[in-house]
This record gives sequence, C-alpha cells and structure tokens, in this order.
Amino acid sequence: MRLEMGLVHINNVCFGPQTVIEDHALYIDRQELISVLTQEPLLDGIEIELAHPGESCRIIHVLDVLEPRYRLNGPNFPGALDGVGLVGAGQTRALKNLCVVETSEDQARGRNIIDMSGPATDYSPFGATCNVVLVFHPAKGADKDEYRLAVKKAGLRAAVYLAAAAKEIVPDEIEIYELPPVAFNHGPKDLPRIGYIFPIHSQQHPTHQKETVFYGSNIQGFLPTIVHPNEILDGALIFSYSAFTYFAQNHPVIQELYRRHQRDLWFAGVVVTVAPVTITEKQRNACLAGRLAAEVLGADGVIATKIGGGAVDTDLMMIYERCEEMGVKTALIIMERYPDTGITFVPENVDALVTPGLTRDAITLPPVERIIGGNTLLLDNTNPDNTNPGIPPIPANRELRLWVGDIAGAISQVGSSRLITYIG
Amino acid sequence: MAKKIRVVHYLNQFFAQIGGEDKAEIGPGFRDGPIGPGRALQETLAEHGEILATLFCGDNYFAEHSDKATEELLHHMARFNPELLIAGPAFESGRYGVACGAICAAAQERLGIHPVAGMDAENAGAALYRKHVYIINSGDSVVRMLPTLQRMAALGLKLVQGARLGRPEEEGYMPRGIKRNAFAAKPPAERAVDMLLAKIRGEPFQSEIAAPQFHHIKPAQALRDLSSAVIALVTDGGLVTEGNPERMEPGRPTRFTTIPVEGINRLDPKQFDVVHSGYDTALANQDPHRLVPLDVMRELEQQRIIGKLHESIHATGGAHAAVENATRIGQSIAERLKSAGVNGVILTST
Repeated sequence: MRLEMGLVHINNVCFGPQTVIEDHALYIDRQELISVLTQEPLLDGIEIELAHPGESCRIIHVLDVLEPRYRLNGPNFPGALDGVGLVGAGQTRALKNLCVVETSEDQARGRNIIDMSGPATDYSPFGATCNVVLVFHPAKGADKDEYRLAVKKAGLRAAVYLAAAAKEIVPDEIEIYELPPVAFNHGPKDLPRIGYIFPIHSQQHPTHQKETVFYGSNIQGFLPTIVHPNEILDGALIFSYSAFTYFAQNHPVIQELYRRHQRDLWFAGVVVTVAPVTITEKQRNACLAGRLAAEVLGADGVIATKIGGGAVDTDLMMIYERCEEMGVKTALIIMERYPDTGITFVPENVDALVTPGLTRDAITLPPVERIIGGNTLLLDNTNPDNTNPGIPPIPANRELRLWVGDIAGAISQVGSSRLITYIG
Repeated sequence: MAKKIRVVHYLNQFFAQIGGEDKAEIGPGFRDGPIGPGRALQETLAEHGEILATLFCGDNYFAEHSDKATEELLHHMARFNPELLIAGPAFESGRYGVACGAICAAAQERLGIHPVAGMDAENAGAALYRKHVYIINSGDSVVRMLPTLQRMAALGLKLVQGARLGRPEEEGYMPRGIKRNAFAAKPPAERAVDMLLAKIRGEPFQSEIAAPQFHHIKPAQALRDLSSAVIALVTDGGLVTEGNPERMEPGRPTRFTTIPVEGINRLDPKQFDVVHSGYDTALANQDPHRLVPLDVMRELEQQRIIGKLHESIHATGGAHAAVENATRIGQSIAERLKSAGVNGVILTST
C-alpha cells in the first residue's frame, strides 16, 4: 500500500475574501469557514482566531490539535467526518507548519496551553506553527460529552476545509509511505524486523458511546489488530484524550520506523490495541498483541508506547513481558510524571525504557498580550499540583507557574518530545 | 543595574578567624560584612550580590547543641532579611559540614531563604543533607576554596533568580535524587529504535529510566486468637477530623492523621471529613464508616469476637503518594501500633 503525502508549506495565515493558498500563504474566508463549522447543532457560536509564531499570544483550554489534510482519492477521516471508508493509500495533501487548534472552556481536565513566544516554544512544535484557533460556545442545554464530540468533529471539518485549498497546488515535497501486504513484506535476513505495538486509548476514561476514535468506531470492546501504518498517518485515528491527533497524523514512531526502513531495520508493521479496565482483559490484550507481533508480523523486536494514566503502566509492562516470552525483543517509550517517584510498576526484567520527559517539572511562562480560548485558568500559581476544585481562577494572560506537561505538545506519550530526564 | 541580592555567609570558628580547635566551643555569633573566605565570595558575587553579614559557630558547640545553635543562627539571620545563604565550604570537616547542611535546611524550611552549602562528597553532612539542599562538591582540599566559592555563588544567584539549573555535573552540585528534564540530542522515537536495535544485536545499551527498587515484605503470621487481639483501623482513604487540623494533603501525602476513637461508637459525619484527590469522596463524607468500619468493629468488640479496638485510627491519602513518603508513613504507623500492643490491623484502601 502506497501513500503519497504531498506537503504544502505554509509560512503565513490571514483572513481574506476567499480561502486560497498563494505563495505559501493561506488566506481564509472567515465567514465561509464559520458557516461550514456551525453545521453542528450543539455549537451555538464560534470564533476563529489566528495565532502566529513570535506573537505575544497564549492559547488556552486546548482540546485537540490537527494538521489540515485533504485526500484526493477518497473520504476524509472516514467514520468520524465522512462516511465509512478506508485511508492510507493514494494521494493526500498536508498543510505543513499550520495547525487547527480546537479549544473548549469545558475542558476542565488538563491545562493544555500553547504560547506563541517565550520559553514554551522551546518545548512544543505548536508554538512554531501558524495556528487557526477555533473557539466554540455550546448551544443552550447541550450535553457536555456530546458538545465535546461536536467540537472535535468541527475541528476535523476545519482541517479538511483548509487543506482542500491545496487540492490544485503542486506540493513542495512528496513523502512516500509504502509497505506491501504483511505476507509479502520480506527484507534481507540481516535486517531485524521491527514492529510497533500501539495502544490508542485507555478505557480508564471510557469512550463515549458516540465517540469516533478508530474509523468511526468508539473502540469499546476493541481487540488487538494489525493495521497498515499508513492508516494511522492518514486519518483513521482520532485520539479521545491523552494525545493530540496531530501526533497520530505525524506519528513519531511510525515515521522513525519508515525513515530507517531498509537502512538498519525492516519495518514489519503495526499492531493497534487498547488498555481495557479489568485484569482479565488487560492480560488478554497483552497476549494477543504480542502474538500478532511475533507470529503474524514475524517481528524480531517491537517498540511499544503507553497511553493514559498511571494504571496503564500495567498494560504496557504486560505487553513487554508477553513479547519477550515469545522471543520478541522489546523497548518501551513511557512518560515520567513525578520527580521523586518512579514508574508505578516495572517488573525486574524490563531493561529498555525510553523517557519522553517528566510532566511535573516546573516552568515559568511570562505574561502575554493576547489570550485565545478563554480569559481565566484554574491554576494555583504557587503550587501547580493543587487540583482542589476550590481554587479560584486566575487571569490567563499573567505570568504562569505550571508544569512542562501543561504545554500542549511538549510531551506526547506516543513518543514526541525534545526531552530526556536526568537525576539532579 | 539590577538590585543586589542580599546574602549571608556561614562559617565555622576557624574560617571566621576566631580560632582553631581551642575555640570550637564558641557559641553562635555574627559580624557585619564578609570575613576570611567571604572576601573572595564577595568578589565573585561582584555587583550581583552583597554579603550583609557573616554568621559563625564553633564546630563542637554546634555538634553538641545543634537545635539551640540553629535557633540562634536563624534569629541572627532573620534580622538581615537575606535572600541567599552560602554555607562553607567545609571540605572534609565533618562537624562543620553537618552544621552547614543543618543551617541551610533550617533557613530554607523556616525562613524561605535559598541556601547553597559546600563540602566534600564524602563529608557526613553531604549524606545527611544532599537531598534537601544544594551542596557544591568542594573536594576534600582547601586548595579548591576559590573555584568552590565561584560555583556556590553562581548556583546561589540562579536559585534566587529562579533560573533553570543545569545538570549536577555542569553546576557542580551533588545530585539530590530529583528527576528533571533536559533537552535531548535525539527524539524519543529515534532513541527507542537505537536502544531496541542494540538490544537485538546484543550490544550494550542503557535504559533511560532505572527500575524502582521494591522491598519484599514478608506477611506477619496469622492471628491465632482473635478474641484476645487488639485490632487497629488504618486507611489510605484520607480520613481527617473536621477542618483537617493535622493539615493532611489531598494528594502526594507526606503525613498521616491520628484520630482518637476511644469511647466513640459511631463516626459522626459532621465531625469527620475525607481529604483525597484520587476518588470521589462524597460517599465517604456522607458516612465515614464506608471508609473505616468503626461501627462494625464496635459490634465485634461487644460480641467478644475481637478483644479490643485500638484507641485511634490512623489515616493518610493514597493519591500519587511518593514511594519514599508512603514507606516512611507506613513504618511510623506500624511502629506506633506495635509499641501500643496492637496485634492486627484492618487496612482499608480506596
């Protein structure tokens, strides 16, 4: 299966009389975009704001971040936005250096901030992209969960609408992602076959019945399965929480395995799984994921990543143990959350862990002139760990003392970050 | 020019030029401005900081009256309203090193002053205080006085300014066992693939996260005779007396509560509260017996199924507890219960 990702580099974004890309600048017809997005009945109002790199601007209450994409040969985000269909083959246009940022003030969990200048930009890619920020207001009486899903769907709609402007544009660059069917995916004997076991969700926060995570499925009762890596890159997966969808579209592990494919490894394929709730389900999923990697992909080694909270350490370690038992060497990427405490659960034989960084590492962000996505934050500036519901909101444009993990995009559990940790 | 940072310097009797071992009994005191190595420290601080006073104490006096000496030194220190305390360097002198560590820890904890101590890594003070305060490794020789003072000053200025500290080997401080972020040369996915390929090839590789060391606890023998046993109730569900007078934290707990229940047959929800960030506490607040079954234990006591219920309930919170804190809390509770003659514990978790 072959995916041609046509990259169209964008270096500026502004509003204009029609939505068009000219000379690497994206002009957006604001009214047309608003009318496209207000198709969702749960949304009462919507504002579109543009944020540029270097601006004294802070985006708060970030719900999800997307790279604008338009598929020339088939449905976009099938099952989630367009009807049922498949992705991962054919031609896709991607707007690079531009993101669609969904904000939602209902987003009480996590602080998820993007600063367009200052120290936060050292940590996250989203401070260096031109950002089209969608600020939504719920319709009166809208159900909280359904409103969140409507916001996410509107984000997909915006991502497709913007990238459609690149339909007729000759891409600046074309990336080829190509792997044959598993049965024919053979390389030379001296290159180790490497697979990727990818948990896409932890049901410790269950998906909503109407949630569209994988090809439109709410993934309740999901069992481990083989997917083509191109499907992840091309819009099959919309994260529920714990990661931004941008990092599925630009998946760091999949991209790294493709980059080194045929050089120092052979990319054997991807197993997608979820972290369920009960111990029996966790054990079953770990067994099945390991079995698929070992016996269907024929992997010599696998990378596995974590998604979700501390409870999911267990699932990841089970995957590790089952793979190693089946003779598949394993390395894990697992984020660290506390400066003074290790990972919740690490069996003695687990010897290959990579950290994308420590979330609870304090950082001070300077005041900014402009705020998008609300005016206040629930933050105790003297103790970012204070999650008491009683803490009073503070103006979001002031100097903030919070955690590196609060910077959207700084540490992604799927393996994107610029960080490593040390004992200081 | 920026405002000068207010600094005080702590020295022992020798470096404060009062005298040698013969003056080691001298009590705490202070002089305005820098003394001895303080002059070199002032030169290093230059226009960034000013040494307002030098505090001193005899090594023996501090070792023998450390609480009293600390009190007096803090009292002297407070009058200068300093932002930074530089203590030592003490090199290999153990009594001096311990005094530097103690005064730094106390100043940090009680006066909110940023402290930097200096001593050799083998100094007893380093083992005692390196986890609590930044200690520059001076080595064991006084020859390294100047470079040590320079590192202490540089680190101190960074602490006061709230600047980001570099790694221990860059700044010269002893690792405190606290994890920090640093920018990496390669992204995590690339490092993971490198590590995996090395593992497959049988080449050496280094995991980036050390596995935690857990101690295996052998369970106590089962109780033979319940009817004569003293049973205690302990919970990690966050039970506190109404108003939380013991100030137990809702998450990341460092302490536990002791709630007297002698003569109490029921836990009145108005007199108790539940403090815990890890679960919805509404049900436990409505009826604390859902957390600690005092009511049932009293019935068992009356029916003589158990000998006696212990006179207090101990509680802490379980949400995101650091293993070190949880271990210490558990040991303290166990010691108390054991010395009170408790034979068995019902531990309720959430």
